[in-house]
Amino acid sequence: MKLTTFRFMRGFAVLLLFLGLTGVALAQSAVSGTITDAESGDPLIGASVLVLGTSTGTVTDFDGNYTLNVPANAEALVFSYTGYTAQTVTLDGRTTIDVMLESGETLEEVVVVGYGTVKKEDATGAVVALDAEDFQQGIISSPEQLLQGRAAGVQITQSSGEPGGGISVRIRGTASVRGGNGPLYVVDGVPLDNGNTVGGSGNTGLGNSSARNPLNFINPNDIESINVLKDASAAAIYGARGANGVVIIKTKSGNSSSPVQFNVSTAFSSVANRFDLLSADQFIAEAAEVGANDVDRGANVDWQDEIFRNAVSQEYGLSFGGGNDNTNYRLSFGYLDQEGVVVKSGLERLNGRISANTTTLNDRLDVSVSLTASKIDDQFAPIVDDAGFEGDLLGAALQANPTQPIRNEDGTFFQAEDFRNPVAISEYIDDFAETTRLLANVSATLHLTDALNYKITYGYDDATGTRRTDRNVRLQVGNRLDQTGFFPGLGAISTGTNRNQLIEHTLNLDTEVGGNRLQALLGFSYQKFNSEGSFTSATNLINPDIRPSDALQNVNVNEFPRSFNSTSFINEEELQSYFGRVNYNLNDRFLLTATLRVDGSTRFGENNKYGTFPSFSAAWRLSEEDWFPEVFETFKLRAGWGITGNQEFPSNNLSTGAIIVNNEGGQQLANLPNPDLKWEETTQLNIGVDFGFNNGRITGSLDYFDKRTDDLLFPAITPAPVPPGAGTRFINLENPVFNDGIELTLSAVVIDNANVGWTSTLTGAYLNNEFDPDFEGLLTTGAINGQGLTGAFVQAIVGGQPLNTYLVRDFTGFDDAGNATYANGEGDVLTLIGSDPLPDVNLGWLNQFNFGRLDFSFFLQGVFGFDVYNNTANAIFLRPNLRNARNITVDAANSGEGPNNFGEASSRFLEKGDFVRLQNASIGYNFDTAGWGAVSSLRLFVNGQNLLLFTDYSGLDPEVDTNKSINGVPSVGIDYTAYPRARTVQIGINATF
Amino acid sequence: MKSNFLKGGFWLALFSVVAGFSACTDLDDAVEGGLREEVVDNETLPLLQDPAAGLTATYNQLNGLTDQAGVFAMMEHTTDELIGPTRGTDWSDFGVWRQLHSHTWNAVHRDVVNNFNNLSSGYFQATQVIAATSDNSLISQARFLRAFFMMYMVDFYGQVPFREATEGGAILPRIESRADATQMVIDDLDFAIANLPDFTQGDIGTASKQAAEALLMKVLLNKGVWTAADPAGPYDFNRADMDRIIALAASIDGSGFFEYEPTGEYFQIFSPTNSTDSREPIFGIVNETGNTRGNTRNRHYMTMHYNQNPSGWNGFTTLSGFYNKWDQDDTRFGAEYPGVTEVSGLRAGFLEGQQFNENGEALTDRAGDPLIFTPEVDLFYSTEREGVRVIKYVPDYDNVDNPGNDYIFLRYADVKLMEAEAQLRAGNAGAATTIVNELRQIRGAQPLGTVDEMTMLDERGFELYWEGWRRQDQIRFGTFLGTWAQKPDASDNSKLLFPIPDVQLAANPNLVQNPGY
Repeated sequence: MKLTTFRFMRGFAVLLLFLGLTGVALAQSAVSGTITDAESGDPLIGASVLVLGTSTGTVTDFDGNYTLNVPANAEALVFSYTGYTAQTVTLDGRTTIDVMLESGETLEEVVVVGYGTVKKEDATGAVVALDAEDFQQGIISSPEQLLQGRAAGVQITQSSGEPGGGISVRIRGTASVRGGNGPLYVVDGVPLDNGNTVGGSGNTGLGNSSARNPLNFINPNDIESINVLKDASAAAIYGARGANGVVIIKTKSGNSSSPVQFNVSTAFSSVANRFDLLSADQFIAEAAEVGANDVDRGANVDWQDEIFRNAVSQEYGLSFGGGNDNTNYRLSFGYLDQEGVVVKSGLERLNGRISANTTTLNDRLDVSVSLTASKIDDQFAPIVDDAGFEGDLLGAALQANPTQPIRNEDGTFFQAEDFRNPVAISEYIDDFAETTRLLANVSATLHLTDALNYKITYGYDDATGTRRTDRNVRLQVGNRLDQTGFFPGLGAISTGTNRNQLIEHTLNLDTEVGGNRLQALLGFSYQKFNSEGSFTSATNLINPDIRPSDALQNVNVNEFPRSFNSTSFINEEELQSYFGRVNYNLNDRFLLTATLRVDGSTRFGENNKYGTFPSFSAAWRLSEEDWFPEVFETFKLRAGWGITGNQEFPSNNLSTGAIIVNNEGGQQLANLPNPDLKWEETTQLNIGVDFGFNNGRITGSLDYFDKRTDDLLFPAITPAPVPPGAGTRFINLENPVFNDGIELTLSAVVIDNANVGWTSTLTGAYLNNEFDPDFEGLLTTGAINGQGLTGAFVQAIVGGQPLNTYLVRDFTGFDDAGNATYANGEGDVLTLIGSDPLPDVNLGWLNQFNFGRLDFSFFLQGVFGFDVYNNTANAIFLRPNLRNARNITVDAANSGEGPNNFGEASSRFLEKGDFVRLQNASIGYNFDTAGWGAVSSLRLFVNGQNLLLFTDYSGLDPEVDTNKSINGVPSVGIDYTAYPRARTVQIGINATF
Repeated sequence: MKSNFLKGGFWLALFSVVAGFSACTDLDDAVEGGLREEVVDNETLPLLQDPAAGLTATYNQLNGLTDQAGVFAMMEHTTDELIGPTRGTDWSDFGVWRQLHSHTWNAVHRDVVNNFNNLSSGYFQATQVIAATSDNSLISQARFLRAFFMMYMVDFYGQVPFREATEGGAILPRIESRADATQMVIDDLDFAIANLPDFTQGDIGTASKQAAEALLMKVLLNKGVWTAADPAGPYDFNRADMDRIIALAASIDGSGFFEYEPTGEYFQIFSPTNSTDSREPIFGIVNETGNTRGNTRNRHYMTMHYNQNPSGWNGFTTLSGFYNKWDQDDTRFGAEYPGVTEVSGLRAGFLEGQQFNENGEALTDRAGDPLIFTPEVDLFYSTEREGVRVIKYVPDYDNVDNPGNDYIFLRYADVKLMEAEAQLRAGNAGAATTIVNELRQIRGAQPLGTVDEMTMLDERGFELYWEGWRRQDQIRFGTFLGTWAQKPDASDNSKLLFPIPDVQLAANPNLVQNPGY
């Protein structure tokens, strides 16, 4: 069976090859021979033979034999096999060439760790290294998306389908209830300040929206590799910022043979799933069922059609480089215009990058500079996180009466107190942001001796953004202003700047001690973060035809003295660090690493200015031992322990005192400071193995980790009385959060010969999260919004439970009248029902095939063991809403819910979120460019994103994370009219010259 | 050798650079964007630098009391004159309204938790002002405000945590008993009466001698409840307190600033121009059209239907029991209001039956049915038409969302009814009846024979309905634990106090949970 398949595949490949060659009709001669393993003499099956400089080739058969017709002008053959060193052999007119391939040095994979690199086989920590070929494909607006599903233990959740929208990245779980849970990003050695320049709340009066992802500024095409430091032994070199893991992004650099690369693509997107709402006829009939007999307004409108669109996106990229032995450079340019599938939303990115390096002073000094500049124009649809009963754009469209005409007879929009017209919302709200970001760094490395070098790095990161939000006075929000006949309208401008400067000195030693390699690093780093911003808004606008934010003074201040609202802030943070690392390689068998970082931060209280973060790790390359089974070429046991910190908590005013003047002229204490405040501290143990066998065709790693996070930054209730507005005082909680899990990565080269290749990579992670059982308090989060849901919440931080466990009324069904019944009487009793939004299992399965010039890949992602709270259904898809002349889904109409029931937040709206997604499939063809002159390669591809989704979740997509935080305690996995995810088909060309 | 020299020089340079940077920061967290006070321990708070601005912030803390939730909810939803029914998909709101109405609140109830914080912050802010100044004008205003906030704490929770002005977050506030805290409130008010200037016409937003007198009347009237060994009584409304109340009323009367609205003008007390047009308000929050601090718009939003003008949230209503008590000729029951009824068809007072727009056309609900308000409501399963609506603060059509109506805490008719009640409790039913009938006559209601406790309570209801005092009144007259529409079960004595919020109990071990929770 297997044999047949193999033969078939080979035959297929040969067929393709033949097709590829039909155009080439030159005089040919046959060359044959046998390819064997140099060490054992065994024949190599499926090894590749290729005419140098062409794509003419074949593979060996089961006896290691090959025969190949080579063109008369052929000079040499290239013999290769996975896990063996390739050989190029000149023909010299021979017709028989036997080759012995040396098994051995497979591609020396390098892992980027903080402040340096190590050979992958020498790595002692849990690090995932991904190259461009591993990355997610398609229309990608930010680098995290490249990683989705690729790295075991790195959970990447797009909070919605909004272009450039927020992405939550959780490396080995969630450990903080108030600090950030996202990793530290380090781009070319510069740790980023990953704050937003312009806040999410371009509040249009419909609610608050979330900010977009600040990492959008990086052009994915500029990224050479992404390395994820998962465990403490790897991340501890980043000390007080390492607790949530570290993502190290390395950008491409030029070399003497960098060709000109050009890529262009166009993508077509549409909403992947829609809600199955009642049609106009169904609506009238169903409304009558619940006693609403007069809801027919005469029209027949599909409101989803009115706000969704088929979007077209375009991407262009151009790069080239060059240089010589001493100096190299690379320039790149990128342009992305990504339209959203909701009208009036999208992202446009223009981005350029220059990098260069040179070696001088008799090879003693290396200097490198790089500069990335980007400009992003965001357009936001008014889809918000916390819409009230009127709904945001999507909510309004879902609940809009399908018989309601869009416009009145006079051509104006139909609007009413209880009917926000979705088309009017879209028409009358404009919301744009423009962000520019400059990331520059320069470094110089002086080779003091052969073994010792000194490096100085200066980094500068400056992001500045402006967001302008306008709500025309013709949109009915609030009550009509009598004087003008219009509504108050709104114009708002918010600006923000984040600036971050880094100066860093490191000494690197790389020497041998007693025949064993010793590497050491000593460093000092100082980083300063400046942020500032302002917000100004005006309402009660007079002239309806002036766009509000064009002239905020368009207000009659005498009549409306409270029309303006303005705030501003400025802040500076500093981080001063000392760090060091020692790597010792004993006989290539034992690898030892120790790191230490001391971080001092302005965020910490007077009494805790400096934190110390040590780590130790060791690896034993068992495969080097004589007694170890030969079947493994590599087998490395790793163990690591370390302490990392998290200082990503609100920066100002927590650790020192302050008095503010509020905008009513009053003076009050703004906070109750805590001079003992310090970082959250994560202690992590990691045990893992890396293995490879069958000539490196199967490789993998397996990790177990156990994390404990202490000193949680926690908004403790200070015993009343307290100054107004200072009800919580931040403390470091005694109760720890535990995360433990298992991660597996398995890669197999299933087929590899000249014409057919199949590699398959499976990643999987199991995660368990629990908050200290001894914690007796309760912190609520997961606010639920919508009609009749004021004050509702569904998640809690409770002892002995996973963070964000669901705390809800336990819905048991409907009684005879169709009214909801709950497990504990009349339904205002909240219970822990053993359900949480944190996935237990994450799986990713990447398959890449090539058939000669054709390549194909697909990627499946699976996430299991979590529950999504469907706030959308809770707020909108309630059968009694028909009585309010509001539309619902077909399912809700058939739910058995009675016409008088109230839809209190409960387990009724809690759903299994498990899903499997065909996230990506692509097919490409590499043209034979021989004789095309300047074109050295040309690839045409078609790529599909989000092609299939298998889930029982009733909403649009269970991968969702609407921001429903309460008092800064983040929520997880709640869906409230989230921007729908697109299905995208992209067609493009990559060419090199 | 040259290279050696270079090397040595570089080392030197390197060390000086590294050493230079090593000392580059002391990592002080500079607080940008505010006046700053250094705090080096957890047990100290700085004094306010500008006590006058601190006093402004104390006044600002009153603004939250105009919300439909919070103090208003705990004072009204728990009583026989107001209900927040759940209407299909509307107004379930995590059960907060149902729990208040059916007396099933608990120690995590939103209003129970928030009021504890907000009220105590109010009197703490006042305490900080008092500590930061020696200016008698500021101190007397601050002590009035402290008494105001603390009165609610005494009333709702029966325990009052007290933090001195400079006690930091790590200090556990001491707890004052209900009786002791009542005395603190009285002491503050005595000081305020002795030191505050007289009322200024048109400015109900500044503490005055008369405001302090009126508040002290309220405190003394409830003192019997608040100083009782058992919150359920017996209550000692002693003669000395009643005499003081009567004397305070005489003092307020004697000031000459206040008088009843003329007959038929009852709703002018709550109008957009009440600052200037009404002489009943004594203390409240001054609002001007377009410039509101203590917004009264929620008072009509919370009750009016979506399809009325202005559009409302279609929420709270009165109860049939209260509605059916009315003599419908009483001008307080309802009236057309100039500047309102002709604009939108909306009347002031109680809205029952079919509702109309300004052209006399019948309004419909969202499903197209006639908008007919009915007296009966269902706590759990009301339609959007059920319940009689109540308008006191009439809308300001010049700016519906920022209306000019001043918000009123204390007003003259309340003072007179408190005086009458003191007379009644002092055994002078005749004097009480005179005061009540004088008021009833001006309000266009039939005079009563002789006032007794129940008619006294009813009269307070007719005059002061939906003004945020009903709970106190019902407790004083012993009806708070009873039954009424949509509250079929009598409550146990524990409901005379709200629970101490769980989070506060955990934070301050000096607090003890009230019995029954």
